[in-house]
Amino acid sequence: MYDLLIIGAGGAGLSAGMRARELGLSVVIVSKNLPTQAQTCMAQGGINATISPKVDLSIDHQKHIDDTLASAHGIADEEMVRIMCEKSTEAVSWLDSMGVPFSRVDGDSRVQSIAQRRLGGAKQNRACYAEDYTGLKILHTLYDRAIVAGVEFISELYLLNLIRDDKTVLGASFWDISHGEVVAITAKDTILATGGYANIYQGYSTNANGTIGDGIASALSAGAELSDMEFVQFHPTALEGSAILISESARGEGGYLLNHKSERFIDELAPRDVVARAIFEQISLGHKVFLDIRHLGKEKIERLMPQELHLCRLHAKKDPIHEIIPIMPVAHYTMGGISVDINSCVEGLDNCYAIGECSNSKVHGANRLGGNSLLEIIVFGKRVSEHISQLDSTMVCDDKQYHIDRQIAKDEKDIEAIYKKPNELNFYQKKKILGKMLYRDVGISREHHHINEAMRYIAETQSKLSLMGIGDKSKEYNHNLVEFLEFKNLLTVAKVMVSGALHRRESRGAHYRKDFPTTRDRYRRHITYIHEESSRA
Amino acid sequence: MINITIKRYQNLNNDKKTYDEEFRVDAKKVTTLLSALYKIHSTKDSTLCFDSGCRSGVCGSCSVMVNGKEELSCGYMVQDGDRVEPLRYHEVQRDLKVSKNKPHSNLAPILKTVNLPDNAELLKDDVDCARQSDCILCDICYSACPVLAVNPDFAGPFALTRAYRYALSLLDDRAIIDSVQKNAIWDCTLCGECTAVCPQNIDSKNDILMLRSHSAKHGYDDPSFSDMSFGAMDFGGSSFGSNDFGF
Repeated sequence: MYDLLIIGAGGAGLSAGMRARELGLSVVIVSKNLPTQAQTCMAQGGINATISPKVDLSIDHQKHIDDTLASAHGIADEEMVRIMCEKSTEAVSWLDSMGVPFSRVDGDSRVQSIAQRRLGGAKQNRACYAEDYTGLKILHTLYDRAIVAGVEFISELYLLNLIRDDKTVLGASFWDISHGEVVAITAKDTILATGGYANIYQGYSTNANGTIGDGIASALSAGAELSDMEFVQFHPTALEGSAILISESARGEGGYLLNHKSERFIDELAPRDVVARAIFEQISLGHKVFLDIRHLGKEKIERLMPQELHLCRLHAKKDPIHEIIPIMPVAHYTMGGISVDINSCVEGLDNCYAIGECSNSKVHGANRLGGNSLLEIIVFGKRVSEHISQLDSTMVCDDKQYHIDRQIAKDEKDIEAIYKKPNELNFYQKKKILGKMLYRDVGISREHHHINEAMRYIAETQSKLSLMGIGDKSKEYNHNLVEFLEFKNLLTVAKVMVSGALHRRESRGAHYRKDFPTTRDRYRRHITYIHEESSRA
Repeated sequence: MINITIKRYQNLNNDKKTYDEEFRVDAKKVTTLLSALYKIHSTKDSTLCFDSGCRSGVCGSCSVMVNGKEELSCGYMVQDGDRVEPLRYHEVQRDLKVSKNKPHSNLAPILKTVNLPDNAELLKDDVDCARQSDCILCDICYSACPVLAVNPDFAGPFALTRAYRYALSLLDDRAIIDSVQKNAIWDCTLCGECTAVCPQNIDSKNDILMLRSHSAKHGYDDPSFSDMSFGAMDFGGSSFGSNDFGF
């Protein structure tokens, strides 16, 4: 048995695994794909940290806290925000000591020479970056160091359920994608680092297809509490159709947003949610919105935005040097997730922790500040292992094997049933329709009766699940099966998100209600969810 | 409508089959090869197996061969008549999905020699490993490398680029250099295929040349020269290298 089972091999899982090894724990990191394919690789902007204070470290930390709280619109946990911001200095030093190739202002190798830039909503240049590949380089460096540190990796295991004895988590059951069988992995402590759920807006998200909140759904059904699920951040500029992200730098360098009459209609540098809303209003009226960078000139575009140039040509079949680019705002990051306490321990479960985007550490509140997502995964990834290493984790469970066997038998039965189901309705189609509906009705701008419609559609789809199944009947490498399991989780997560959007009868941060356009004090709280059956069990 | 041919490998109840299958897709609805594969998988044949992730060229999961050349399927504009196959020198698991275990197992022995010092003074200043650290582990260079056809134990270009990325940072890179002598830098023919196909424009060929140059400083010789009794001539680091003698 391992000391630590970590589910998810993105930046959060790798940080926790790496730190746990430094502290002498035995660690296994399990992931549904290969470690370096995690969503972390897509983070471009940077990681916020105070590394070289002008006057005093605590003053700069306080400024970071203030910026984070302002963006959170009243519902962040100030103590958690303080921990995250104050630990930022140590977190970046830790990454630097592992060899993350940060861009530097001076040629020397001191931490203080790491280059920083200002991201939206920040009053200081605070985001440490590695060109436009900050997430990629952090992820790969952590992976390299984790290999050296002796972290064991098992990839292509798809999380099914947390194995538990009442509230105590003993490990988890997985579908082994390579071998086509249910397996169990147990550990003294289990960490969920499974990522967010932005791709429930399928077709309207910058995230990978599988980013639908698997860990969140599993935690919920095991009795964990979820919170703030209605808060989803939308990025203003993705390519229309493909939803490929066009970085904020296009507007930062002076790009325009044009409506169908080729007129500018919004201050392009306003906060993300404001710009996204303005674009969405145009789109709702049936108008197209375009990004125009032609006036920047060929030389500047080629020099400053080579990636964007390539992506536009490839995915939109347009050349931004000569043409305007049709864009749309899309789901980018999810603030809500599994509720955790100050030590990242999951509310409602014991010996189980959650970190990163799947968790709601309450550091982002109603809207995340750019550069804080990478910071969160490193700080809380590192910190959770420090906490666990100090515990006297001798798990007391007399009938552990009974619980493991029972869970495996249940999961085997469930999967067997999926193989036998008719495949009368194509769930891929349903997923696509739901993605579009969520985008239109429970996306950037929300309204009671639209939200209700989406709710009805989810319920209807869930009731038709018995008619949906898999066309692929093979055991090994059955992606059709994994995608079906994801779809079931997607429905669960979407239902909770939509329910939150329905109940929050106000506008706050990324959550905008057309019928309640102002912030109301009575909603300065978290909307939480628990699964009724599991709480009764 | 366009036609694409996919090399299939299916193993249903130990009945292993390899065959070509042609699919028709609506050209208006797809742009990249990956979007075409999604379309086929979700509407025509859910047994079609391939890896994918970010859709924008940074996760490295969707590499395949198109018309004999390595491509990221999310970065390749699909065309009528394209023939799609799995990467070379990788164990094919199903259809276009391959195991990256063997190529990636070459990383650990190299990485384990990277001893990062606690003291920043033992790190080099002014290090530029930006390009080397752009690697997304897509395995495209490995598939394009002709050395693997004759020496399956060759570490492959991306592992050597990783070695060089860390060698660049350390004042003492001796241990790293020691780890890239066998089935590594001297086995490369400097043909440049890896550099030509890299979607991140990483120049692995040059990184290997630089590692040879560092090796020479540590007293290593090109073994193909010593084997041929040229004596202890030091060609390390020159583009002259072992090109003519090959593997």
